[in-house]
Amino acid sequence: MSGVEDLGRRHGRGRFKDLLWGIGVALSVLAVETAIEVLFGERPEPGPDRRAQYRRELRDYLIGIGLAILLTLVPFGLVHWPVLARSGLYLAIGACAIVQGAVHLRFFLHINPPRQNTDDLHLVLFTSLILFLMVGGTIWILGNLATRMH
Amino acid sequence: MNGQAVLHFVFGRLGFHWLPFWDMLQEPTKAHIVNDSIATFAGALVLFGGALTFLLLTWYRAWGTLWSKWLTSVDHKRIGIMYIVVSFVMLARALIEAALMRGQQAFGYGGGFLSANHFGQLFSTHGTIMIFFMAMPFLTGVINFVMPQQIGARDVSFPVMNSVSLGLTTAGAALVMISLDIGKFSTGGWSGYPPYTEASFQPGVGPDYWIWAVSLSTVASMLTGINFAVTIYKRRAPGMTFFRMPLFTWTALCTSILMIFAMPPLTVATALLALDRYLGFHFFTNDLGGNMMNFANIFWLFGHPEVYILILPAFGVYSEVFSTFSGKTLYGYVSLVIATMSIAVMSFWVWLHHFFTMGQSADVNAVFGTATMLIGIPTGVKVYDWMLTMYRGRVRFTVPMIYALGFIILFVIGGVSGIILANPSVDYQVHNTLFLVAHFHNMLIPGLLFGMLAAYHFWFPKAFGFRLDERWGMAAAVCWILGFMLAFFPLYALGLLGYPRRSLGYFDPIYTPYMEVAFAGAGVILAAFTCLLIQLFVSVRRRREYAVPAGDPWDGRSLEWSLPAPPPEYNFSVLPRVTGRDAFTRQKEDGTAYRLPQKFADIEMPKNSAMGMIVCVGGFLMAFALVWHMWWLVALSALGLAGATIGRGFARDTEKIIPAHEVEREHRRWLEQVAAVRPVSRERENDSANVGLAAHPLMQAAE
Amino acid sequence: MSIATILKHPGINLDTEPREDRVKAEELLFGFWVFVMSDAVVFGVLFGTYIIMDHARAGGPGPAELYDIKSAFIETLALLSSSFTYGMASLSLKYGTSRVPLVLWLCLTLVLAAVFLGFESHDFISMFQKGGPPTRSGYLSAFFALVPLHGLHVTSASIWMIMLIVQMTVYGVDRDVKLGLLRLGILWHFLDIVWIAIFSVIYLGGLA
Repeated sequence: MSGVEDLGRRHGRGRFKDLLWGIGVALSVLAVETAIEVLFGERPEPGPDRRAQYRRELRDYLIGIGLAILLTLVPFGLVHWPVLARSGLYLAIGACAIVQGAVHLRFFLHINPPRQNTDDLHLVLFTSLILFLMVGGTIWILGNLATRMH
Repeated sequence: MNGQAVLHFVFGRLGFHWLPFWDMLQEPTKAHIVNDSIATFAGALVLFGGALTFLLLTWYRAWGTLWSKWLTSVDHKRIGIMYIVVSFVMLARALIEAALMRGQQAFGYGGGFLSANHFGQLFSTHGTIMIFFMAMPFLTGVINFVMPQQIGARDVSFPVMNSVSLGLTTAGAALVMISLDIGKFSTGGWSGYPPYTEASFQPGVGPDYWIWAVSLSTVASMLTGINFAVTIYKRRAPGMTFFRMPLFTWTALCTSILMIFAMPPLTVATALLALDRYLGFHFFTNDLGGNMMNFANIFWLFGHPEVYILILPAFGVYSEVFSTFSGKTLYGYVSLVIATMSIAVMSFWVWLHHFFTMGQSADVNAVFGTATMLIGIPTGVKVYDWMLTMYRGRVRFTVPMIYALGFIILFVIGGVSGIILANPSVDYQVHNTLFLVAHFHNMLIPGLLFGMLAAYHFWFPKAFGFRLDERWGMAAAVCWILGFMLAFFPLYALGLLGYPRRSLGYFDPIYTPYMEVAFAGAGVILAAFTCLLIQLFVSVRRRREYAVPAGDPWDGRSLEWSLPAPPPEYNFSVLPRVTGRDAFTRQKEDGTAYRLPQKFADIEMPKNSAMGMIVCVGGFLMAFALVWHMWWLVALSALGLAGATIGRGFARDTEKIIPAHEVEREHRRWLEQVAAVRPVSRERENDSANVGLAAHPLMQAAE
Repeated sequence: MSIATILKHPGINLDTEPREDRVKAEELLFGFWVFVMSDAVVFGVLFGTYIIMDHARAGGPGPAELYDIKSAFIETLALLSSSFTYGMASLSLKYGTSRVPLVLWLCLTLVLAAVFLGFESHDFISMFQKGGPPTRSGYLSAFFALVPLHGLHVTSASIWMIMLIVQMTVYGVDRDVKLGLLRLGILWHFLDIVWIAIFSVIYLGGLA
């Protein structure tokens, strides 16, 4: 879509569709990455060497903050200096958000699917399902109603 | 600042014109006199009930016991009992309201005796009370009492939070009760749809009473859900894997998961409505971009899982009742577990069927309609499993079994009406008619209520050490079954004949005969409730005759029956080691039941705490102040609640030790009691010879 | 359940106390994590509401007129840094021998939280001044339900942090203080995750 129409404000729901696409792409990337880590990743044991453990955990936080800052600078930058087309922009914002969320979960909250306690994993997965149903369902239903009322 | 402003600041919008007899005094028309007399009588009953309680407590010098043994107790058994007391009180009120409504509609040809506003308040309080202040406390109380014992735990994971939940629920119930004395309740139904409940249409206190009462109950249930789920996940006795838990515990787990995830949407819905009403926001208003359809959406995101919260514990009770009173292991344990979990998960994707007619496209309706029909399948599996449990068992027609048999037939009928409603095209015809009202009462009464009454009869001996009178129990059960059928089957016909729900009266005489039968049914239900009260009175009087101190009056199968009746505060002297399902039956068959443990250890239990009471009083005051716009009291009670919470964080000495020798002494005393009594076979179950010790089934063959 | 599996919970895992404390910690932390999940659903429903009301402007101002991207950027960096400083506090809780670095890192976290809240309050006030109070339109109502709710959570968490510091001065870093800090850590990181969603969906989504 190009031309004069593009310059006008896009219909509200349209951009959230792109954002959701971005989220979907990011989730798929994450799924692949998790699979790789499960299959090939190293599993360091919580050894008796506390110094090593300390350095490992410190490293986690440093990697976390580094990635998070990057994943913050990128979307803010893309909005401030518009280089991408609209739909690509929303995709990028959504993807960065999801990946940064995962970074927080992994490096700050130490939620690590291969080694995670099963009870906690049940909980996170179930909550994600509920959020998907409730938020997705709301957008679908109310969107449908809005379309039919125009 | 002048006097008026001061008064207004202190008393908010309280005023004499909110008293129930005000209109009658100002303008004595027939309508005002009739309606206000009923309202004043109800308000007077509340005050009378409160005063009577106060007087009795003072007369019997029971204040100290009440405070130290009950109100500040964090024992899950005591909290469970208190929940059930609250629910019985609220059940009484809501039943009377139901009878009034049936009466109004029986005489509704040409108008009836109630005003539209009064009728509106009645159906709103009836629904709100039955769901939030009867059903939820009842099932919460039963799970609270039973579940920790069934999993071999000493208490729930967060005992003080348990007490806080009870406090919040009671505060909400008290708020609904006080609305009888001052102010009017909402006329927007238990679902409170805007824009009718917005300030522009109902600027009075009604919807605010509804919002804050429901909010208190919602927070309580959310905390309860967390408590139960963590308890079941983390406090099971050694050897009790998930697939060795009794079915009641499984349903308790799924119920608590539903509570955790379904309550947040309701919190949001009522909070957003409150923002609209109090601060002029535009979530659901007619103007400036409000979207009232979103309220229905958010409300039912909560509402649908809520009805499964209501029914799953009942399903758990029936599983216990069917297996215990057939003397057989529950049939199809794994399928029952999977069915329960499927119902819990599926309950989150059907909510749109509550508003098929709101205007979505047929495709959207079809998806949700199909999903709704799918939920019937696991429920059907459960029904077959229960029937197969009875098959080839030795069925005993005790009171809980009568409720269960009534349930299994009547609930299926209600379920079928649900499948009918699940079809959007059919639903367009009967949505919001009495057909729908018949359907959900058909699910809730034979489903939830019979289950809770069966639970009450089943576990009462465990809680208090004596059985309930069986004959009055039978009378109650039969009256409930007959009364329900008389009161609600006509409503199916009325709905198909086009009678809308929540409608005051009518001008077509064709409805009258059905309404009259329904009114008779209401009378039978009131008789049923009276039988329950008489049963309690008679049982307390005959408690020595019905005593079952040995603890196992029904030849029970799960761990709670292995404890004395009533159990000690810490439940188990030594935590059991579980090797399979039906853990207590195993113990009885192995010969390891009633053994003296080799070693006793000190037991650490939580101390009493006043937090529950503080939250109850503070929560009530804050809610009342919000309703009446007494902002200084809102701030004060909020600060009090925050202060108490922060203060609790500083508490360090919160546990007490029960020394091993005391545990041993209690245990030995109980075992001596057990050794001194004769075990009884099931034929003598309702005899005074039943002191709570069950004969080995092989022995029964010899008798 | 082996020791290794017991310890792998959200937030930092302490592994030096007696076994009874670890069992109690597990129950308490799991329970808190469950609570956080229910809170996530509250935010989720509010996000859903915002998304469907985003276009309900009622002729009033929209993101372009009301949002300040620089302010949002500063708030984001402040909150993100506070997550990092809290992480450093957690490390010093687990490995440190003295109370001093712990308290210092916590105070730094509080300062960053104050910066966040200060900028956010200023944003809200300027939105009011630009003709965008919540009573103006459905879209603004949705904004003002979601974003201040997050701010309220940050405020409450900060008060909790102050109370824990006070408890530290009274009791030292005892078991209950540690358990409180672990739970607060879960809440703090969770709030930062919610903020990621807020700045992405609301601020960047609105201004892009």
